[in-house]
Amino acid sequence: MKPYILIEDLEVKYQQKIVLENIYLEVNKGEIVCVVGPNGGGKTTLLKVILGLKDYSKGSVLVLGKPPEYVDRKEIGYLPQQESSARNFPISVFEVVLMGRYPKIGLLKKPDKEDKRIVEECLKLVKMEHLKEENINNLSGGQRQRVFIARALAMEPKILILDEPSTGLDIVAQEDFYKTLVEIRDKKEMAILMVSHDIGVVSTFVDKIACLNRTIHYHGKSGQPIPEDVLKKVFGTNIQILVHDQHCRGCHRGNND
Amino acid sequence: MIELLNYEFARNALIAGSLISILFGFLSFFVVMKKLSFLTVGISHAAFGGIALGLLIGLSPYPTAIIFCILTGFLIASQSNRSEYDTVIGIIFALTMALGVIFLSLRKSYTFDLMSYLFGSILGINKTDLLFITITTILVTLFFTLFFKEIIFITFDKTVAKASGLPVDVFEYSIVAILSFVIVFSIKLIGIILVSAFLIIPAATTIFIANNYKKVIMLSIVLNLVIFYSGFFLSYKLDLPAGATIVTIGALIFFATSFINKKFFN
Ligand SMILES: Nc1ncnc2c1ncn2[C@@H]1O[C@H](COP(=O)(O)OP(=O)(O)OP(=O)(O)O)[C@@H](O)[C@H]1O
Ligand SMILES: [Mg+2]
Repeated sequence: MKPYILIEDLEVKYQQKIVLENIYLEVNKGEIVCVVGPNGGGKTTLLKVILGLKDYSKGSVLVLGKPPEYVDRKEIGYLPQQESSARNFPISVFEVVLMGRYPKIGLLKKPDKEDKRIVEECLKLVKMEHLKEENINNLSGGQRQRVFIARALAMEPKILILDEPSTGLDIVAQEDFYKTLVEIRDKKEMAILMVSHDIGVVSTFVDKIACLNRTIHYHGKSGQPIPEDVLKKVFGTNIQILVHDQHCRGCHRGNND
Repeated sequence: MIELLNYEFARNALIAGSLISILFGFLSFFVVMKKLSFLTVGISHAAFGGIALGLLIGLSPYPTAIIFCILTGFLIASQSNRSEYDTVIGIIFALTMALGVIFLSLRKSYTFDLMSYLFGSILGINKTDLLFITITTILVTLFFTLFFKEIIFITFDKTVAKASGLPVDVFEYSIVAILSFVIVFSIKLIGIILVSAFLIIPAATTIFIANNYKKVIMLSIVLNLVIFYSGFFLSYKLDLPAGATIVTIGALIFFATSFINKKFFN
């Protein structure tokens, strides 16, 4: 099995400023990988590179075996960190989620029964089916976030990329959401790559955590220390870690100069 | 009123006006949602420079106007991610007007009816204009019908549409080109200065009333027809300039709707 996402020796710049370097990342089918790190650490940038929305200056990025610009984008669902939809666009919740189907439906075709069934299913997963006829502009921030998550799910992509999906969700909804992610992963066999700040919660269900600040550091699932030799092999010795919690085994508080 | 229809120029004006009302009513939703109002102002004013250039070198003004509009539109669109976006439009639209004035001053003869380009000369619409307007209407309708759902997605959420593989940039430039064509062909009807109102008012008004984009689009088309017919006949009755009457009626309807909406629904 080829990895769904394979990044090697990646370097990314904005103008002359290097914001990511020496990045290695592997995400496999059926895995949930969470990227954590400080503000400005480059998490969103990394996701954009994978999505083909940002170019890179060095290294190799393979998504479903291809460089980002050649990837079949229908196979990648995306939830941006900042809501990117037009304000006051008059549209119902159901129709928004149905948009997630558009890329797969293809040109010149209309959504059919199956598309609508998938939309219903996704709305149920995020517990928004009771508001499906509601205008999106009449929802709260957290409800909107759920709708956009449902839209990404409705694509039924091979890879789901979520940038801080839990923003705006209440504690119960967060719990539910993470459970839902696991459920989806099991059912649809997607790979899920997400950014999150609630590392404590996340580390209990994800398969891998990557600490990112300009460069990346990998962790196994919580409780499993990562073998030293794997770390060395993948990252060399130049490791910088800025986010720690009780699950951060195998990493030591580096000198962050 | 009916006797008006006996005149060919009046019939041409009514047919052209109906088609343009429908077209603009339809496009209005996208202009308002994508916040392109100021872009349409920039494009329409660029037509002035293009028309003046056409007159200077002795060509029909349409081709040069369209080229001017498209180039200006593309230049503006290429800046759309920058924060100085509206500054750029402000400068470019003044520049194209300035060029227009310079071109006109270079001309030796003075048979140019400036007012009719700036504010429209609805009764000057001839068979050729009508042909261009009809073809444009058909092509634009075809484009939007074929790609409607993709266009809605891009208009609603550009970033996610792009990430999911839709050709967002192609669409953004297409809409600029489409706006350039429809604006140039409607200058005779309503004039360079007034044309953008016809593109902004309908959806800006109907969005107060309807809660779904399909309804907004349909209502915008209907509203634009109402505005056009009432303005056209009123201007005939009262012997007022048609373009100005139409825009005044449209603006009054917009303000009335926004007032009623604020008063009763908020
Ligand atoms: N469009 C841009 N132009 C220039 N620099 C940028 C741009 N976007 C991001 N950067 C820089 O790249 C670095 C990484 O930004 P990024 O948005 O990837 O961080 P992040 O980890 O997602 O942060 P956050 O937790 O705040 O979302 C930052 O130093 C930022 O200043
Ligand atoms: Mg970010």
